[in-house]
Amino acid sequence: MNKVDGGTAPIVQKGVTDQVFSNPLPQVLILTAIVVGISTTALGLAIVVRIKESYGTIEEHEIQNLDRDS
Amino acid sequence: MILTNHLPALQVVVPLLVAPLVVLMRVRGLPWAVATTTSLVAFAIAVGLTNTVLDSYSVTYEMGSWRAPYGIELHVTSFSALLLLIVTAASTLTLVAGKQSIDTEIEHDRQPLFYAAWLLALAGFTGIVVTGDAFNIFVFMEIASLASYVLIAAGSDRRVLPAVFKYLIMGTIGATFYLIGVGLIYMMTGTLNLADMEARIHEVGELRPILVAAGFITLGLILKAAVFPLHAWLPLCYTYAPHIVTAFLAACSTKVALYVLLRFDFLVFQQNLSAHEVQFTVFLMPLAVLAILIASGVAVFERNLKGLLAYSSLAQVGYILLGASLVSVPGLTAGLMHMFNHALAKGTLFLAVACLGMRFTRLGLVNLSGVARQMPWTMAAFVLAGLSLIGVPGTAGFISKWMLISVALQEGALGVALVAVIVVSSLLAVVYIWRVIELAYFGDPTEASQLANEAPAWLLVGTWVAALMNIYFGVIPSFPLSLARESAASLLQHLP
Repeated sequence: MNKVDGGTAPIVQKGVTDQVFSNPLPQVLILTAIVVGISTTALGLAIVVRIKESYGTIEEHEIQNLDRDS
Repeated sequence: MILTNHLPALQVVVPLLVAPLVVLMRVRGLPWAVATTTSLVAFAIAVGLTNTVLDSYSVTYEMGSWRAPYGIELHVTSFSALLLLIVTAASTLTLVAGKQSIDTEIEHDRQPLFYAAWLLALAGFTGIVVTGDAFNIFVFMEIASLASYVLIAAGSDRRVLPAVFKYLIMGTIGATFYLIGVGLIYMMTGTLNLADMEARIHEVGELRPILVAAGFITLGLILKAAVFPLHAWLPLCYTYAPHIVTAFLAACSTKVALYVLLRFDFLVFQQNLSAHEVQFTVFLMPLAVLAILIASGVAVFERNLKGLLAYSSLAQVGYILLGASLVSVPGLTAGLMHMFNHALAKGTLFLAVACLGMRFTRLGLVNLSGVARQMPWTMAAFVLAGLSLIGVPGTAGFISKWMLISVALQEGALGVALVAVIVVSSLLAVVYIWRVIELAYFGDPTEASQLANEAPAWLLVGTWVAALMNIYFGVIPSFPLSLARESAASLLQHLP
């Protein structure tokens, strides 16, 4: 989506006004989505660590059994 | 530079910037004081914005002075103002009243992080509401969600952890669906600005990617809004989260997702996709009816007080959606009024639960037997808010249910069925609220409830302020009504 045929990097230069350049926005969006993805994964893993700490297991059926007993 | 011109940006920026500072505050009580002050400032900004919106039609703000379709534009309408008031008022009231409750549930050294997450959630919710940029909405949605996961996971019961993990997975799926939809629209129109999108989308409105995008966005957002049958993450999270967090999130988080849903479906898609309003009704009305009936039914059999109220929340989301799915100005007005009134009623109920939580470690209904003798003020506030939830005349809940019923009656045979649904579910609400009242007032006192004494005064004051607001807006509903009416009219301005 971002590549424009014959386009260069989207950088403003002095004296250049007729240059075709590629669309920078999709890369920005993807980059942001990657950052969001990483933070979500990190938080998810942190929660898994806490589940392991408090239940002693990360098997779902064992967790369910432990919850049923308590 | 006049400060009032920058209110839309300040609404988000102030809590966003204070949040990292709060992490550094290690003095006892200071994080709470700073977070509460910030929340109060956010509320004041929301009131200021509401005043401006009531005078003029809407406020736009160009971030960093980049012109609208290129830069990010903030766009505050009467609909945003309604949501901003709900979010900031809920945050402020729960923070002011909830200090002692938070102190008992969150250890002292984790509190700076807790309040930082709270402010981030506040910034995320207000950000979603004020922004006029589709991708910006996604980013704020993730900020708000990640912060809410942290807030919920702060609960002391270990069962909160699997619950919050489920929420994280489902919340991420919802946000990803939304992002896929926005990506498809960007591919077809080359814009992310909602107003620009609205103007350009009709050229490609009949093409398949736009239809797919509408599907992805609607589905992603109803997952975020916990509409039946995509509600599975909500009840357990609300049950095991810290009490004050439940009060805050129950009052605003699902409503913000509904806000984005309504904005997208009515402003962007409505006049550009053929027969969109029919699809909207056919798809969402059955879900709304099922949510109302099934969630109310489950609440009747729920054994945990917070779980009961959580299922009732799902039913209320159904009411809001039912009003919207009629796709008429009066219907939508009723739905938006219910948004406001439900935030009031459920906020009060969960604050009363926080009062009970100060004296009880377990909030199963059986544990609470006979508690009203020891905690009369708490239970009186609970009853008041419960009446508002049921929709007894004189309370806020009555206004919106009455509006819903009178709108539904104009719909002919279908409308009669809808009225029956509303009446049945209100009766179910009587049943589940009565179960709590019966046990608390007439049950034999348990050991725990004999030892309990009235909740701390400050928390009780907060609960009663919220409870009396239920009465106030039940007697004088003109203020939320004018906002809701104006929002509904502007959302549906393109209706054929």
